Amino acid sequence: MAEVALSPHSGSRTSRLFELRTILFTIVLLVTLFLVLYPVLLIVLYSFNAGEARATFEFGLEPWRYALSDPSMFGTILNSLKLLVAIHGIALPIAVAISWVLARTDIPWRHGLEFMFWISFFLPSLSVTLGWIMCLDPQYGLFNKLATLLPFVEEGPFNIYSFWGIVWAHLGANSIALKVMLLTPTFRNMDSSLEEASRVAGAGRMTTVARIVVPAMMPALIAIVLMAMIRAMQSFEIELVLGPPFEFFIYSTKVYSLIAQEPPQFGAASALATLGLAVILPLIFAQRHLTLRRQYTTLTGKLQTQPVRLGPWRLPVFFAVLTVVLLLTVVPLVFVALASFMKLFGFFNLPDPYTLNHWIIVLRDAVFVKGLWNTLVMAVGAGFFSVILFSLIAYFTVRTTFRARALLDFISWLPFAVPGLLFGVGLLYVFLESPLFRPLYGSMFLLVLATVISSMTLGTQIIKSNMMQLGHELEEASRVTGATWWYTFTRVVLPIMMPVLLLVGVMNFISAARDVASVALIATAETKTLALLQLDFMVEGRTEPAAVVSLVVVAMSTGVALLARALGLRIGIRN
Amino acid sequence: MAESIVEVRSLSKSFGAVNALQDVSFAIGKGEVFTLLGPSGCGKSTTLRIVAGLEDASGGEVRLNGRTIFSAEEHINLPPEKRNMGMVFQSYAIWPHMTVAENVAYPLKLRRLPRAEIRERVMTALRLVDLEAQADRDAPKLSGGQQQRVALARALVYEPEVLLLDEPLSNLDVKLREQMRFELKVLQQRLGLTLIYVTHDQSEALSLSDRIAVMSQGRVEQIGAPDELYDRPRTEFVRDFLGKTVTLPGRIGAVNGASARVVLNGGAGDLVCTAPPGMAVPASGSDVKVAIRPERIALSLAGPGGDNRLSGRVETVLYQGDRTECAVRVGGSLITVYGPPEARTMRDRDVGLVLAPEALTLWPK
Repeated sequence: MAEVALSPHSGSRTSRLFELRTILFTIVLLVTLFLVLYPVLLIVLYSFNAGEARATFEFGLEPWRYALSDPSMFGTILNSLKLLVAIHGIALPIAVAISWVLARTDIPWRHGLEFMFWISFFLPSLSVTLGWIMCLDPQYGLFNKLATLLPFVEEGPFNIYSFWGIVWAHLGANSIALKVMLLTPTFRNMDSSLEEASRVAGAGRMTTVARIVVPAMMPALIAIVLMAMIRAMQSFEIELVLGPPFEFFIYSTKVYSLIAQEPPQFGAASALATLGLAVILPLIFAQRHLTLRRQYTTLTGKLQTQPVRLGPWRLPVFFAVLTVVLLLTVVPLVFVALASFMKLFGFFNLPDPYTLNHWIIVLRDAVFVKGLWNTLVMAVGAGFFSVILFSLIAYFTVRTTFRARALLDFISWLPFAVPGLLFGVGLLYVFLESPLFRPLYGSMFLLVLATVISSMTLGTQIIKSNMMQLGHELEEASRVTGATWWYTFTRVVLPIMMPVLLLVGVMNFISAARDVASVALIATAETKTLALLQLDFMVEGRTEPAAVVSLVVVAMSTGVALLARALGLRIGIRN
Repeated sequence: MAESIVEVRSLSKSFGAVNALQDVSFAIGKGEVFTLLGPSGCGKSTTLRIVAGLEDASGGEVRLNGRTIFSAEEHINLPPEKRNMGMVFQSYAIWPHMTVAENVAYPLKLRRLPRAEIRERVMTALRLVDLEAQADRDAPKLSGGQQQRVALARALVYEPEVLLLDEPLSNLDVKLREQMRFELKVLQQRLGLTLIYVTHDQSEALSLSDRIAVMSQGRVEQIGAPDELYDRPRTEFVRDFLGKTVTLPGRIGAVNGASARVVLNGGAGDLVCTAPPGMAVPASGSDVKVAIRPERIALSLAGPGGDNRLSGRVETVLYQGDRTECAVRVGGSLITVYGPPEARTMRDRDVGLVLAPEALTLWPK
């Protein structure tokens, strides 16, 4: 029989099919480039703008000269680093000890304690900080008042508006909780036969810990420390509330104040932001390198045998851990709740100190209602849009062979390195400068974009790691039976991934609801969210209304997390 | 081959400097069971996946019913969904978010068949694999063997022209594997299916196939019917991969036409060997190896005498219930033979070995 070549008709159909995927990939790549890389490039570009206004771009090194010569500028980066060392120098040993206890010993009520750390992780840091202001404010802080009741103490010893006050707020917010959540599974997954082999070989318990456990955990510990450092460089709202009263700025709050002041100093802000990026980028490369390498040194998840018996230490250790976790969760929240019901917080000696007025006033306030609506729109929008974008990014980086997928992968990592506030700066430039996008400035859409960007890395990583576990054959089986790529993606890949996508959607809802840093600069009076409203109240010193708004934000973030957990979503974080 | 359904012509594929496939060619007729057999990494799965359209090759072409569906030279690569083939994967690839019936219905749904027809054909397919009763169960709740059947039903329900099976039985335990092997053969014969079967298990290949291509390091070593490969392997690799072999080193003595007398090393004795048709016997004096399958050696108690008889002493016995594996020392060599169950008491006994002359093959040293 004569050879029948493939007809040109079916040949072109073939290439069109592949084009659909290519077109989609190109769109996703361009959108991601625009959302992530373009704002960052603009920041760097504007650091060379010596012009008076943003609109008149004149190349010049003026902003850099200013940023590098004025100690109040580069000094803020040093402040960031000092805080980082202090916070994590304290948090890491505590977290390692707690995680080991939770994972490897017979401590009572282990799951309950773990659950409370999980709660702590979801508490908005502004709310926790507010709670600690109630306790440690130099004038009305309750702990200070209690201390003055003691003999020989005339002035309250605590002051939250200080370097160590900021450190304390960070420890309470989530520096400890995050590490416990990351480390506990790592300790739990460590193959106990490694330890047992050492014990059988004749090494004592302490020798085993020093020679086997710690070296085996080292890669995980270093990765977590690096991650903590990166997060520390992104810290913003705690310092914005606690720093200015004693003239203390870190670089993100400095960038914020340079832009928030009149007239805004965009050039200097950009130069400082670029400097901050230069500090973070090496960290992110080190962190990526480590996490990638860790795949080969991962400790096997063999079931361990007996937990370590604490013996007589069982109860003392339990109460120590309980105290820590109560300080992280219940203590600050109780005082926030108390403040929301007091005429003037701390003044218990007023005749009838309690009132519902703050609640009534705030809940009736049009600004609050608008904020609530804005928060809901932003959180729902962010949850929805992020799932679509992240699942496509994850799919293209994990499941295709496009050359540019490495670029896509890299871009999806960038928001992890770039602090949310800086993205805010970049987005501000993008949407104020370009006539095409300017109409979108002042709309909720911009806030949705900002929060999507800020949760991009974590969300994409979660979807990616789940997609990697999803066998290729599930997709291939569909293709072979006659389904196109798109049919397969929508009928097989997405439905199987649905629990994970829901999880990512809920997590992004939560982080959007409490986000301050990425929206602080781009929200207008019309688009202010509850978290920003709370920030305003706190900065103005209006503690009681701040407490009311704070509780609503807690309900929207922690409450939703609890709800999702009750519905069976394994919500949390992975390393 | 005018009748061939699938024709694979000189496929090649390389990853950097590594040649995953080199010049792989074969043709499969309608209703034939064709097996790609080889150790892991030999390229058999890659070949199957190229036929399915799941991977591409750097050279060569694939034809389906005379139509080119893949050609590296002409940049033709029909996507898998346009090839109308069925495939059963090693992991079964049962979609976990669907029931058994939904899994099987999927290929029909996407072809937009009427609902009633889908239901009917799904049930027919499930009846074929004896899973009618499980139709509405969640697919992940089935056992491995049942998932395997679902995968088979799903691959058959839309009546593809060719069914591709990638190590379909290797995740099952031994008993189930043998049972499924039997059922697969029955089904294939009943429906006249054309199968391309990939496996690393030689007994699976020998029992299921009409023809086998033995592959090694990206090349086809030999293609032929199972008995042809087993009895007349052309390379040492094929010989050793398909079953146990006893090899005895020696030197060609007197040559008489197509047969020659081989003097075994170490004074173990002489053997008369015949070269296969069309092959010449090596010249007298050349070093060779004589090979034979252990089951073609008979164990006897009687003393020496006659051609192709060697004598030795039983060194080790491994009793296996249905037979006894004996290691017999003959001169300098240790020869494995299968004795009857009763032979398990024969350690240290002197025995005679009778080697079937037609089963002896000659190999260069």
